[in-house]
Amino acid sequence: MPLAALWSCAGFCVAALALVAAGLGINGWNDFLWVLQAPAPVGIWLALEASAVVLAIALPAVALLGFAAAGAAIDAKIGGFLAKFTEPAADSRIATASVVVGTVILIVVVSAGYRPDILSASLALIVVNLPAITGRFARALRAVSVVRLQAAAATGAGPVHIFFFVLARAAAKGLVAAVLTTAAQMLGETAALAVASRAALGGSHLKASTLGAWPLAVDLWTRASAHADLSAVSAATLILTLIILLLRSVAHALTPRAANPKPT
Amino acid sequence: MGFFERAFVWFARLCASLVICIPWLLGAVLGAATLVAMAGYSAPERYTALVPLAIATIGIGLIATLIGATAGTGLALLAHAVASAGTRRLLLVIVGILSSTPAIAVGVAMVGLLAYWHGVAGAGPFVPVTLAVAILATPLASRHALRELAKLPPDLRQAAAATGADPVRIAFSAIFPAARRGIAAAFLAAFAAAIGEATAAQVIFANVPDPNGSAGPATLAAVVLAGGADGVEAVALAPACLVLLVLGLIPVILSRGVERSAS
Repeated sequence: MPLAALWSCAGFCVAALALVAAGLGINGWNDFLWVLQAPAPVGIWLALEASAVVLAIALPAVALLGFAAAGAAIDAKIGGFLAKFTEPAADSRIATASVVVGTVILIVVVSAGYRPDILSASLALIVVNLPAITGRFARALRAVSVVRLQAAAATGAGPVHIFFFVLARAAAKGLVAAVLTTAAQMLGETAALAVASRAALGGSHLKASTLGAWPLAVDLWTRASAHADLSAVSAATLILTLIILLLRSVAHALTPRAANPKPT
Repeated sequence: MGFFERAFVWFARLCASLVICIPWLLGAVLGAATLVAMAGYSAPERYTALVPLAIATIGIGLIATLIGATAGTGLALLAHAVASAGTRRLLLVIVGILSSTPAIAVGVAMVGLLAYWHGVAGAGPFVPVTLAVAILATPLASRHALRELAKLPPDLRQAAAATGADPVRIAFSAIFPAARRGIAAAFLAAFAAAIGEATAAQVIFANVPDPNGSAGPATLAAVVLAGGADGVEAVALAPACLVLLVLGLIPVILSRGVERSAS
C-alpha cells in the first residue's frame, strides 16, 4: 500500500506532463509548421525577435549583477557580513510573485513620469531573475573543489583574484549553465513583462514603436486571453516550450554534479 | 588590495544588498502606493472586494499545494529511497521537464483540453485553475524535497537496511521521519508559489466562464495581471499586490523557521 501511494505520486507527475503535452498537441499540432511560416501576428518570428531584444538587454545585466552578488555570497572576505544573508535571500525568491514585481516596476515607472516600455519590461525581468541567478551562480561556484581554493590561498592570492582566476575559471561550465537556465526562465516569463509593459494596451509604446511585437510569451498571453485562434496559440506555445526545454537541457548537460556543501 | 579588487568588493556588496533587499524594497514601494491609493480612493468597497479574492487565492493555493506538493514530495521520496537507478533518472527527467514548462504553456494546455472536451467547461474555471496551479507547484515541491533528502546522512539508509527492512519500509520509517521538516518546508514553498501564480490562472479565467455567471479573474494574482496589463491605474493595484506579497512571505518565513529547526 505505501509503495502504491508513492507510485501514484509519480503517476500524477506523468499524468500532468501528458496533460500539458496533450493540451498543446491536440490543438497545436496542425498549425505547428504554419506558425513558423506565417507573418505576424500568427507567425512567431517577430515575437521571437522581440523576446531576443528584451533578453539581450536583461540577461547581461542580470548576469553581471548576479555574478558579483554570488561572489559576495560565497566568500565572506568579499561579501563581509552580507555573505551569510545573500544565498538564503536568493532562495526565497518564490515569495515575490513575478506579477508583484511587474506591478512595482510599473508604479515606479509611471510615478517617475515615464511610459511603460522596453526598458521597464527589461527592468522587471532583471528584478524577477536576480535572486534566482545569484543562487545558481553561488551553487555553481560552490561546486569547485576545496583543494583548489586551499592551494590558491596558500600562494597568498587575494580573495578577488581567487574568485576570478580560480573559482570562476573552474566553474565556467556551471556559470554558463546558470546563464542558460536564466535565459530559459526569462523566455517563459509572462506576468512581470505583461504588467510592466502594459501588454494588453494595443497602442503601448513597447509594441507600437519599439519592437513591433510583444516578446513571445507575452504575445501568447495576450492572444490566449483574448480568445484568439487556439490552434495557432497552442502551436506557438508548443514551440516556446520546446525552445525552453532545449535551453534547459543544454544547461543541465553543463551543470557539474559534485558540490561542496559548505562555503569557503 | 588594489583599486580593481576594492571596487569589485564594493560592487559585489552592493549587488548582494540588492538581492537581500528586493522583497523589502518591493514591500516599501507597495506600502507607500497603498497609502496613496487609500488616500485617493475613499470608497471602502474597493478594499472589501479584496477579501473574497484573498480567500479564493488561499483556497485555490491550499488545494493545489495539497495535490501538487504531495505528488512532488512523494515522487522525490520514491526517486530517493525506492526506485532503481534507471527509474530514478526517468523520474528526475519528468520533474525537469515539468519544471521547465512555462506557466503560459500550462494555461494554454488547460484551455485547449477544455475546448476539446466541451462538457468539462460546465464545471467552471476553479477546477482547471486549481489543477494548473497544482501542476506548476509539483516540480517545485519535488526539487525542494529532493534537495532536503540529499542532505540526509547516507548511513541512515545503510543502518536501516542492515536491519533487513525493505526499501519501502526504510523510506517510510527512517527517511521520511528524518526529512519531515524539510518536506514540510517543501510544502510551504509550494504554497508560496501557488498563491503567486498568475499567468496560467488568468488565461483559464479569461477563457472558461463561471457557471454562476460571474465573469473575470478570481485570484489576486490573476486580477493584478489582468488589471496591470490592461491599463488600470498602477497605484490602484498596490493593495492587492501588498496582500499577495505578504501572503507569499508568510510561508517562506515559516519554511525558513522549519528548516532552521531541522538543522
